[in-house]
Amino acid sequence: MSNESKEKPLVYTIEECKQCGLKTKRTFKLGDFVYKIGELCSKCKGSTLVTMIYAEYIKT
Amino acid sequence: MNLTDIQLQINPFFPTGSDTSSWWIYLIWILPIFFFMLYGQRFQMWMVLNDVSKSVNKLKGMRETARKEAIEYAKSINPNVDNTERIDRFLEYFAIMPVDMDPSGIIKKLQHLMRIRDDRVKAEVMAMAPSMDNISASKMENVLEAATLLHMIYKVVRHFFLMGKKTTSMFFVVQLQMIMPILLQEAEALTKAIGTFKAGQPIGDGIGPMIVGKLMLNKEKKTIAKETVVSEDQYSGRTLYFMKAEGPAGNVGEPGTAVEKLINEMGVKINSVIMIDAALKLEGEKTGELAEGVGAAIGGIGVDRFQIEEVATRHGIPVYAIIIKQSILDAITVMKKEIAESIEKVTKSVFNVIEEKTKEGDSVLIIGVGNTLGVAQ
Repeated sequence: MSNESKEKPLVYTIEECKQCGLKTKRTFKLGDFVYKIGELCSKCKGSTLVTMIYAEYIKT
Repeated sequence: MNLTDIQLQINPFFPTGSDTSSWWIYLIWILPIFFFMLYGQRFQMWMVLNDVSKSVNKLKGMRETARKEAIEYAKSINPNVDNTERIDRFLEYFAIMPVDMDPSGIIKKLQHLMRIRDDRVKAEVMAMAPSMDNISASKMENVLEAATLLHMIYKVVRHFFLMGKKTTSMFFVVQLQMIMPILLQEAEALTKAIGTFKAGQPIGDGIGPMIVGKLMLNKEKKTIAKETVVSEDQYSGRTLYFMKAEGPAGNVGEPGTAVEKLINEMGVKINSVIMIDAALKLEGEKTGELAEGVGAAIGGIGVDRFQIEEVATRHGIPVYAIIIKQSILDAITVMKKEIAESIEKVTKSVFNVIEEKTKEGDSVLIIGVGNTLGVAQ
């Protein structure tokens, strides 16, 4: 617990392209939720789906 | 400095023979013995009270932060109304548990009580901002639940601390000191959870709904019970029914009632039930690890578990459980990467159970248990 309290969470949203399968990781934005239609794919301009939202902890 | 030098320096503190000039040395040894014989317990009490007092102040700080966050969140939704008084009143809200001297029928009473409580909470939240959408309302409910729990922990701890001080009873304060690390851990988890609820981010407890939500994508969803949806699909000659709370609002749904309805009222013949839920890990176990077992994997007050066990027993349905291990902090704060990445392992495990434990023509019910905040379907 005491170790975890010194760690800061960085929350990321993972978007997966439905066509080419490209996974993009970006910082979480308010309004994001898992299985929401995401932004257009940067590779094939296909539609993406938010497949994960998770936190990575960094030591401060 | 060698050993002889050290010995020469400490020799005066251990007078020997007829060395009467060192009487004060004897006093240094004897006085503390008398002091601790007479005042030892008071001294220990003072030390413990001091320690507990620091923890009580920490809890007070956390309670204040949670209260302020709840007020600010209400203000951000409806800036025209000051809901401070309403929130303060809400923090004192309580539910009286049914009498358990005659436990027969207590589950129905509990279910009734919890429904009244939920409806009252929802009504209070809607009164804060009548035009609030469903998702914001569920976030506000979660924030208020966390703030209420923190308020309750602080009040109970303060009660025993003051009782200990008043009665100078070691009995109260030592018990409090022993339990304090766990209480502080839970309080810290609740404080951190408030930020996650406000942002609408998925929490560790949402891993079950996240796995089932993925399996429900692009399928027709039917509302089967309060805030609970179900979908149907075919797999290797089996009919699969997927069930979860309706997201992305922060709901847990009523899986117990939903299972009763599906089997008893709708007459669906279920051959196996697979439940996926987050479970508290033991210290030393890894976060995101999965384990398989049997039985109804569902937490809470026990109403849903009772209903599922009851239906399963009456119809002779085997219930399989898959749990994803995590700490209390992981379960109520934003989902950790290790937990989110367990989705493929768990899905594989679900289909292994389907293939190994069921046969073609069977109907299998897969339930994703937990708070579905930030997870749609």
